[in-house]
Amino acid sequence: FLSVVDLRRRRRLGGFSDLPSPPSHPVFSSLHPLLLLQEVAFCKACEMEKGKDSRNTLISTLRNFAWNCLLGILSVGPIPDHIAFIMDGNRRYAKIHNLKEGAGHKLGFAALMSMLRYCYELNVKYVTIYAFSIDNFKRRPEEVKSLMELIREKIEGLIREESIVNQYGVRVHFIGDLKLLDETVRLAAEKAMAATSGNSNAVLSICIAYTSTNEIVNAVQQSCEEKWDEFRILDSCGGAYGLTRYVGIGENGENLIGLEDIERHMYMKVGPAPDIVIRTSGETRLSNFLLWQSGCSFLYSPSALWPEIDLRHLVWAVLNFQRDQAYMEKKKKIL
Amino acid sequence: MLGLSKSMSLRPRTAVGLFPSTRPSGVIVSPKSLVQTKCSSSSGSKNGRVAITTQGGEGVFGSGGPMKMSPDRNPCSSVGLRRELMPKHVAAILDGNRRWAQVHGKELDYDAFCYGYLDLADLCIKWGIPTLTCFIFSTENWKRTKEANNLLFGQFKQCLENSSVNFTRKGIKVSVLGEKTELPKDLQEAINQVEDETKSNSKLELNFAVNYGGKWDVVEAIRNMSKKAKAKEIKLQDVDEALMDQLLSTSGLRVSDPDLMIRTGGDQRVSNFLIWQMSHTEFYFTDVYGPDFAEPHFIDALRWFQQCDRLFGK
Repeated sequence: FLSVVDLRRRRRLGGFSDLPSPPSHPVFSSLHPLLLLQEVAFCKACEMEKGKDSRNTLISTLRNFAWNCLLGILSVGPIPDHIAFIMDGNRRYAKIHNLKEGAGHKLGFAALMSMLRYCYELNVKYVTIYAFSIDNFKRRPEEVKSLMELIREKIEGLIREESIVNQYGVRVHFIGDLKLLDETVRLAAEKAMAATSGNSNAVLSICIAYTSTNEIVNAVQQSCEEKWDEFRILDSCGGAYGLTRYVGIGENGENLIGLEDIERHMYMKVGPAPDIVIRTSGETRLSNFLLWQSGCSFLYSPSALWPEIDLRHLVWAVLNFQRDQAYMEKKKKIL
Repeated sequence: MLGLSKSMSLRPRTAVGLFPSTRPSGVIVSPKSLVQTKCSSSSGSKNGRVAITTQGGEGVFGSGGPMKMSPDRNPCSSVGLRRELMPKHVAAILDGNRRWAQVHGKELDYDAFCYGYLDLADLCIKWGIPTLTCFIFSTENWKRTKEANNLLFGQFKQCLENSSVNFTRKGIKVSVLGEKTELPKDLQEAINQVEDETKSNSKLELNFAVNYGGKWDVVEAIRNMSKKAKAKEIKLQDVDEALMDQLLSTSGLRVSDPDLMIRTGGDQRVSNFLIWQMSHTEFYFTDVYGPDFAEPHFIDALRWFQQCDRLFGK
């Protein structure tokens, strides 16, 4: 894991060859906001990964000050409650850097851990990630198998004591048609959900074997079953409802399944609608992700590939979201 | 010095200026399209071809007017487009009408909004796109003032009536998607009339989403499912994605799912438009206000679309 992090940081930060020791120059070595954010992110990440203060208390204090300043700036506006990520670009990253197959996804996992830390440090309560779509099963069987193996390994890592979910008190949900997964992966997911069910500070929803259309159809089926069960009970009590074994239809032909019924049975009922949907690699499509929930979400699409995503992208997404919110509030008042 | 773009403002935009992979402000374009599209670095310049416009929504392309086409047998190649990669279904939200009116010191008027869609329909016919779906009024727009809604309904009705002859002449088949029963009676009559008059046309399927919402569409599909179930029993196991596709309001179209969605006005959201159908749609957001969206901007959108790598999950 550390060597993967090392490779990523070396490429991005250039001259800092010794990791994870802090850089020897002062934190505020450049006024360029980009470098400043990189410095803050790097320093914060080092502290969070090492879990102990740097030898130099003054630099540590300055880093914390910089981080608190950043938090202060962002807290002027509304912090999003829920951010969703489409982690696109892992394979492209591996291809560009001539890495072996699968390395891109491992680096992508490291990027995910960083982003989760930043989100939880920024008090974003709900984070949803698109880990594996039902459409992804169309990929080559070897690729699917190695992805599933990586996913299983990382899910098992999540419930270890030192993992991020325990550090931040995160409850994990696996969202999707879990019956489509291999039994080992499904069991690991169920175990992780059970192990974190007592956490309540934040929520991580991992969409796996998921598509929005599958989610909607499942919600419709569940709603119909529920209505059928209700009427069957009433009929058995002499309610004389004249049950017909039809999908979602009442005695007088009225529609019994409403919006509330569907929303009650959606997999994603565990959290509110996302405030921001971030898709990396510059692609601007949802790929069957949270179609129902993202109607009012701010869509943000940085061109960075997923393993390259960093604090600056998150900060920029939040700042744009805050501007967008201000504009939407203004629009509501005019209307 | 700090690398801040002149175009940074308080309006919602994509990331620009601070990051090395800078895109023209306001447009989400894939990195590949930056190579093809010649973009001026200073927004508002009238010298370069730019994919977006300035804060004020001025259309910027050469002289500022519509691009003059050379009398080429293959107009697509003259603008860097490929006919075989044209989207088969374009969805459009020509947003920014109110802001455009404010910038130009005009009263709120939806004429430019309605006729803007008809101009877009002409462009679709010209560039060989067989289906266009336009978002006129959302189920959530009832929150607006009654005066604004009545103005929109009145002007949209007028637009339909004035254009009915042109629809027939150009071979445009008009359909309205949405809950029509909640609309004013005179608008409903105008809609029924134009749908009836144009039902046998086939050059372009022009769909207006009026009192439409993506969630409404799904609930309506369930209502349709119930009606079909009453005619012949449908078991719970019959409910799947293919059945839903057949029961949505877009099921009668040649291609029900949009390939490309264009949203003007700078807002980067879907706003409950065709949520089921847009699972793999490419979204093109531009800061250009709706009334300013013209052929050059449309060509830029098409050019951007044609460079997208559409994997559908693979």
